[in-house]
Parts: sequence; C-alpha cells; structure tokens
Amino acid sequence: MSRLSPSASAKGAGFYEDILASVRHAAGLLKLDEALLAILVRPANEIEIHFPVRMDDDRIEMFTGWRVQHNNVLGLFYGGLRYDPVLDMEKCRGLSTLMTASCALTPVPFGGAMGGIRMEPSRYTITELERITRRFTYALGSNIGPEYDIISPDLNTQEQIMAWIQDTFLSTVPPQERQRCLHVVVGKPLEAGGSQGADIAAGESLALLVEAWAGEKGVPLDKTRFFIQGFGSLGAGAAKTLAAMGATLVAVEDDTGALAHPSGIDPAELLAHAGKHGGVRGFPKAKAIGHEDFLGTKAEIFIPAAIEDQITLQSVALLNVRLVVEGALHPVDRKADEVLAGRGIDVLPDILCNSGAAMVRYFEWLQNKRAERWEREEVLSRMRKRMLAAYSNVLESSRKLKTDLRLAAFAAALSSLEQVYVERGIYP
Amino acid sequence: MTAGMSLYDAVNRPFATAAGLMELDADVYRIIGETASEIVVNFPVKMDDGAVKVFTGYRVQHNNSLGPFAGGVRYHPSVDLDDIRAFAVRMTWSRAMLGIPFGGAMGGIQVDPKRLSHPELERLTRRFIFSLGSNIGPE
Repeated sequence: MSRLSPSASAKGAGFYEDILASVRHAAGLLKLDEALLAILVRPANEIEIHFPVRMDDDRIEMFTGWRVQHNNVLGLFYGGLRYDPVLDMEKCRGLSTLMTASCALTPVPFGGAMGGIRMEPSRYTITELERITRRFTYALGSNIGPEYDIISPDLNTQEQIMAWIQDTFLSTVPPQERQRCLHVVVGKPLEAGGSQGADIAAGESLALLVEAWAGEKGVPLDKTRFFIQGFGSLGAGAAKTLAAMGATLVAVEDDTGALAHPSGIDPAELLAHAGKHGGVRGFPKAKAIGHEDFLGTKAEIFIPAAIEDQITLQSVALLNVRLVVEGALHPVDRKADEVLAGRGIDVLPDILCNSGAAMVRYFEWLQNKRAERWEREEVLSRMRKRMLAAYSNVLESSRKLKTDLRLAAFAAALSSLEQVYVERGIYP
Repeated sequence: MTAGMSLYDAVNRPFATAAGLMELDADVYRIIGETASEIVVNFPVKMDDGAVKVFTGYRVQHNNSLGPFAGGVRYHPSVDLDDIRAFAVRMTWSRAMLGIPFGGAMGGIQVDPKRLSHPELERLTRRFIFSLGSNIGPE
C-alpha cells in the first residue's frame, strides 16, 4: 500500500511517540502503577539482524530485519512481519505496543510483537524473496517458536511467505518434533495448517463493531453509506459483511487507485475484479477519483483498513463522516485524532478493531496445538461472541473513566496487564 | 575518539582500509562489514527499597565463522549500542589474528554498578541473563 502515502509512513519516531502518549494518558486515568508503566513504555526485546542473501545474478545483498517483542506477560509474543522499504525499529516498537494492548483487550493469551525486513518486495524475483525469507527466519533462530513468538502476515507478506517461514523453522528442529511446531506461524494456507474462516473473520469483526455502534446510536444501517481504504481480506471482508447488513459501499481506495459510485459498489464483484487485476483500479462499475476526493466522500462511515498514518492534521479536514473505524493499526495520527474528537466524530480504535484478527490467529494456533480442524461456522461464532464482549468491555471502561473509546480501550488493556504483574511479581 | 565520529565508525575505518589493501572479496566485505545480530533487552529489576527500575542491556554478535560468539559484558552508565557494536567487531579481529577459535561478540548494561548494592547487582545480572535466554550458550 506504499502508494497511499509513502512519506507519512516514514516517520517512525513520531509514530511511536504518538502511541506512547496514548498509553501514558490511559495509565494516568487508571492511576496505573509507575513501575508497570516504566516496563510497558519500552519493548522487552529488540532484535536487529543483518543478513546476506545470494541474488539470482550470484551477487550477495545485505538486508536488515527486526523482531521487536514488546511484552509476554499475558502469553507468548505474537505479531506481524512486514516487508516494507521504510520499515525501521521505531515503527516495530510502536506496532508491537499496539499488539500487546489489542491482545490484552480481546482477550487472547498472547503478547505483542512486530517485525520485518526493510526492502521493496517488488524489486525481487520470487526465488529471491524465498531465499530472503528463509535466511531471515534462520537468523532469528530460537528467538521465534510456536510457544514463544509466533509470526503473522502483514504488509506484503501473504500466505506464501508464512509457509516458507514455517518450513524453514521446522527444518531447524528434530524430525520427531516438527508436528508440534506447525504453529510457529499463523495465517498459513489452509493446507499448511491455516484456519477455516480466516479469510473473512477479521473483516466480519469490523462489521460487527459497526453494527453494535449503529445499534447504540440509533443509526439505521440500511440507510448508511461507508467507504474503505484498503481492499485486502480485511477491507473486502468488512465491505461484504456490511453490505449484507444493508449498508452501501460508496468508495474504495487501495494502492492502485481510488474509485466511487454514489449508488453503491458491489463488494463481491469488486473483489473478483481486484483478484484478477491486482487491485481495484479499472473496475468498470465505478468512477475513478483522486485521493483527496476519496477522503472527502460524503458518507456516514469511513474505514481506513490499509496502513498507519493515513489521516493527518492536513487530511483530517477532508473527512465528512460520523464514524471512523480503524481497521489498520494507527491509521489516524494523534493530532488528527484530536481534531476528530473536537468535531464530535466517533472513532472505533485500532486496538479494539484488531481484536477480530487476533482472535482468529489465536484459534488457528489453538487448532494446530490440539491437532484439530474446526469448521468455518465454529470459528466465526466463537469470534462473534468474543468480539461483542470486547466491545462492551471498552464501553464500560469508557463510562467508568468518562473518556473516549481509544483511551478506554487502552485503559481496559492496561488494567489486565497490571493485574497479572501484581499477581506474579517481578523475578529475579 | 575523533570528534563527530562514533566508536563503531572509528573501529571500522582501519578495517575498510585493510580490506582495500588486500583486495578482500566484495561479498565477504559486505558480510563482515555489518554485525550479524544486535539484541536490546529492557528488563525490570526490583531494587532494595521495593521500587522497580527498568534497565537496558545489549548483546551484539558480529561474526561466528571462526567459532562461537565470545565477548565480555560491561556495566557502565554511558554504554550504548554503538559502543557495544564496536567492541564486538574488535573481538572478531583480535581472535582471528591470534588464531583463537572464537567469533566476536560484546554485551553490556547501561548502569553505574557503584550505585547498586551487592544484592541489586546480583538481581540485575540474573535478570539480564534471563532476558537473553537462548541467545547465549556454551557452544
């Protein structure tokens, strides 16, 4: 999605500071123990790896990769791995912090991590990408593992990359133990141990949150228009489910361009087009529009589900909606978030919106661990129940602390972390 | 240290010159011109007065083609990742020169050990090693 706003995502330092500011603010509201705050404002482990890979022309190229493990007091480290030309340590620190909060809130017995390799994947051949992926996995060694740190797909790292990581990791353990280690990676292809329902669960969980919000505010979904940035499994899944609930998709943007149709776009038809052409661009049943027109779309709901820092102080003025649903992690920067609050626009925060994804990864991990295969409906019904519980937990926290949903969500996450630290103590 | 130049740059300069003189293979130059892995751990330690303080520790592994990573651990208030990186690289060169079958690594904690009591120092050390986990080992 680098074409959406490449310059914005390059400022890793401000990004991490934004996230820490929310953590500190929520900690203040809760009167969180100071020692615990000191622990949470720095990741537990930060690993930077420099590794050589032989290219197709026999040259050696050096790469830099990271794995940042923020906190594992609630369970093993879990988080995405991205291939991104502007990735840096600060970005990994920020995203891993959000993952800890999201898992604590969901709740799933995972902690937060994030990693990746700084590179532009489109510059490499498929065989080079395979060698890069395998060499990085090898270099991470025992810093990852099915009961220690598990990896999930993120920007530019889809199922195939996950399967290579799994295979490389398995080759480092004795043959007798390999079946016990399948879950070092989640978001795998179905055949390699992936979960049924994973294609739709995260998107559907966003739609459920929207439905719950609409019910609470008395907004009729069948008269509601929404637009989405990012049309991967998350964006497309949310669009399909919301359309089935009666809402109308009026605009979409991905890294190939933006398009709109005031009387509605059929998400299934658009998905079929995107699958065939590598993006939404050129879809015949909608009109191509520019990025600014896209953000200014007249609708009730905007769902940024692509990458971070898309809505900034400059672009926030364009938004003309009642609700922003943060499908991506940190799509709205802190200054823009303040503007939204000032204008009375509701925000369903990223750490809540990512609960659905965390849940379905957890279900996959659990199925691998128990050597089970759950049916699609079982995965989805478990997700639905937990998602609504997470939402009421955030609402209750918001009422109790008299604060917005973002700070309420952070506060709910922090208080579960605090409870575990109080119970377990610090050793040695 | 030359003003404006980090310790790591200072250590790398003679390496670059020597590599030029001996016409070191370009691929090998690229590999040993960087560290293999750099690990930063932030870990909490309970002080004698019951308060919890978070410390930062480092372990940098430069190269292990001649043998297992080996290198010291220093406790110093001004130590940072750049210093540790520089020491790790120097370890590789000195072992290779002496023919000792070890690679180069270095670790450290940003702390003034004189300001900690003996039990605090023990807890700090144990917690650091606990955090490094399987990133260290006898082989």
